[in-house]
Amino acid sequence: MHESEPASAMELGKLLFSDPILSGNRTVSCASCHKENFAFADTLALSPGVNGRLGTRNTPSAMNMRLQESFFWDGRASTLEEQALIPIENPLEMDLPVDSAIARLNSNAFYQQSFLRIFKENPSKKSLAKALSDFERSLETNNSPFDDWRVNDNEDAVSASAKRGFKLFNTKAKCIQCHFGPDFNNVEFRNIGLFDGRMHVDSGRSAITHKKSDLGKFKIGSLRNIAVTAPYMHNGMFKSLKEVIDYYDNPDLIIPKAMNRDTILIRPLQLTDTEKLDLENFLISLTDRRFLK
Amino acid sequence: MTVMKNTLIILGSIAILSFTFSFTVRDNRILGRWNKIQKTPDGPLDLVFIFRADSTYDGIVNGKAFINGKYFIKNDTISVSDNSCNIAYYGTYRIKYFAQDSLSFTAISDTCKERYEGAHGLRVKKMQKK
Ligand code: HEC
Ligand code: HEC
Repeated sequence: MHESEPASAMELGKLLFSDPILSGNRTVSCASCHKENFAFADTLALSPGVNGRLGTRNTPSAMNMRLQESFFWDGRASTLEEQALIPIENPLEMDLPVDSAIARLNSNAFYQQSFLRIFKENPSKKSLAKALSDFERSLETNNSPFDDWRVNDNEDAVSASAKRGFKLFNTKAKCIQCHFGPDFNNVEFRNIGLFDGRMHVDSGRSAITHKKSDLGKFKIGSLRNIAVTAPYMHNGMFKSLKEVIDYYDNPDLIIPKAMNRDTILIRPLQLTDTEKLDLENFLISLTDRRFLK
Repeated sequence: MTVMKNTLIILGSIAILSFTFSFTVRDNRILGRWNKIQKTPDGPLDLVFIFRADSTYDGIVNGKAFINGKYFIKNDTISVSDNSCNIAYYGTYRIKYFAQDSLSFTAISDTCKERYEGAHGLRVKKMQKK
């Protein structure tokens, strides 16, 4: 067996993830937008797809997907398999009908044989989705200073400021009421006030459910590796964690006429400058060691 | 001499008494790490709960810290408060040690839905020290 030959669906998915063969004009791969060095997110607010076409939403991290129950900012996919084929067909991203992608893989000797060896069948929609999603499931991170502190009782793993930040996160700053769980996002969709129907017009979840009560709700962002995935939010409108924290502290200062904003965020948090810094240091402590220099 | 002897006997029985006393009142069996491996269609979930002597506990899933709180135990009842819900509120569970190295939780009362779903009926196994 040749060294670079994939031995599992996951390894095959890894190759496909960064191969532009899956885009219409063979220039864009999943990795063009989901950049490994930035926790498989993008550094731009909006990522260019084929021919530089821009979508309307920020590229989230493709890491820590295993425990997620819905995918995309509006939750329109409910399994990783279902999610994996959507960007290929999206005209603003890879712009290649999935059937054409399958045909390409079948006429590529390397891929055709790899699929045959791993799945005992020629490339198909199902096996392509399985390969890509198995790769995504392999991108779990659980080795941050925060984990080291909590899991290994290593009191020196995080600073005193980050410890205070964790306490604030759980109390005064109220973040925990939405960012709860192993990836710091529970399964809900919430509206933090980034929809005003005028300047900020992405209605999020309601476009999928057609419920008025879902207007402006989005998937709660995971906070693992958040320090390396700027810019933030579904529209990439905040450039730094500091901007994010300033927003939560007093949302009205930034988007005064938000519609349907969650009642948790009804009053300013009144965080002091030190408290803001503590919160930021806590968020930074969620960065996996592989991204810490 | 008999005075001395009696004193020794009394001291000795106090020592034995206080030993058994501390043993029954301070039940330390919960301290340490407890594990449960749960099978799911997406692969196994490896759950670990750490109960510390300072009355704090953490829950960890697949190596990821996800829950952090305080507990106290009275007889067979544990009261828990953590960041899955209002941290000023304590839910209560009956705990039962069984089969040498196992522990089960049965809800007595807990209005925190997230915690109730994870904890009611939970059975965990003591982990060996590394
Ligand atoms: C042109 C840039 C681009 C390309 C190429 C791209 N993505 Fe994405 N990806 C995005 C954006 C933008 C979103 C968010 C879209 C939304 O929520 O509507 C996203 C969302 C996702 C998510 C959901 C994450 C979450 O938290 O819900 C996953 C997983 C993902 N992409 C994997 C892939 C895979 C696999 C490929 C290749 C087959 C791919 N992406 C190709 C930009 C891209
Ligand atoms: C009412 C629920 C709620 C509360 C409270 C909340 N968040 Fe969020 N958070 C969300 C949602 C929903 C999103 C995605 C919003 C969007 O893109 O429109 C999000 C996104 C984020 C993001 C960006 C994620 C990304 O990948 O771009 C960060 C960082 C963040 N929140 C941090 C915090 C911090 C820190 C606090 C406490 C000060 C907090 N959140 C409080 C619901 C909440």
